Amino acid sequence: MQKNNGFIFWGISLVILVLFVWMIVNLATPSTKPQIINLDINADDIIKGNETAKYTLLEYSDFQCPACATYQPLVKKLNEEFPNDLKIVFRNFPLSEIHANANNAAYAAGAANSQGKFWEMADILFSRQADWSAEEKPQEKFISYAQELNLDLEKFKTDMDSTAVKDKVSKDRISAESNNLNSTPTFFVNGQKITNPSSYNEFKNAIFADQNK
Amino acid sequence: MQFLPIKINKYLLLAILVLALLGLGDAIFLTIKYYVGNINCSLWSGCQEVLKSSYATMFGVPLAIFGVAYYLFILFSALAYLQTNKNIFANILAFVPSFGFLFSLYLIYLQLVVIKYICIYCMLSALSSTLIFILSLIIFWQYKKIPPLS
Repeated sequence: MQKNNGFIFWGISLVILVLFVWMIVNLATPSTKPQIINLDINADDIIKGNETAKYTLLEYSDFQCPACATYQPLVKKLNEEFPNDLKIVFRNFPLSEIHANANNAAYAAGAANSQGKFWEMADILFSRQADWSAEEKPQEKFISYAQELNLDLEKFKTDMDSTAVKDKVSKDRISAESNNLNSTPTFFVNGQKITNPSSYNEFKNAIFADQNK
Repeated sequence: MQFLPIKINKYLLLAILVLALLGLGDAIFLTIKYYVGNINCSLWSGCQEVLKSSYATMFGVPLAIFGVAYYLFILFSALAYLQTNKNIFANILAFVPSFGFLFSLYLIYLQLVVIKYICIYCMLSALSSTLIFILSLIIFWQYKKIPPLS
């Protein structure tokens, strides 16, 4: 009798435990529910690649986010490999709550954009993220990057502080929030959200998925 | 080997069971996030920064798995005590949580001072292991109040 009780006790405990673990696993695995956003490209959006391409990759990004820096070379490679088939759109989603210099970095990229050097500045900001992330006054670093890119420094400084540049960044962030985004980078392919890929090939497949069917 | 003749109040035991289950769920969640988590920065937690940091593993094993093992061990001991009333399990519940607590302190230190990101799920695990530790102190304290028989 005593032995039977033990079996029942451990059996019930095990069943409860398995159910509990199953519940947690379900919670932790990323949802596969598709999220679709209205992909209206605005006149002031920052774009590279072929504007009339069939595929559009929209990225919400934060210059101070290490994960965004990891994806930067992949996005660049996509642009180089598919200059005609892919349009790449960049939108700012500076997570200023956790990244103190994210807004200022976005303003620096915006100021470089006024001189046609957005992507070049983005490359520098991402590749040297560790150099400016902890700075009290990151602007000094940003100005030295602008100098490297042979930008008009006076204009760059004015633009970094201009309402036009700041408004564009906050407009981007509002569009991210209105789509209920809470992390960066978030990628959309033709308006449909994709799970962040773990390799370049996975990225490519996610973008051109319908072509393989 | 001799074990202290510790008796655990059933409410204390129930509380330990609940906390160990909570900690276990949290540690499993973190283990999965370590392996399949989206690589990103998130507004609501610094978990990716913490989980992808070089401090997230020990001997190549993610710390979250140690957490799973720890909470499973506590859970098993509490259940075994509930079922058998044996002193060995009461002793485990009175002493082992101290190690869990010390380890949690180290992990909190890593998050606050070294990595400088706070992962709420890691903090939740630290909280449940701290509470289990406090309960283990109560178990020990109640034992000392009862004078030994011989």
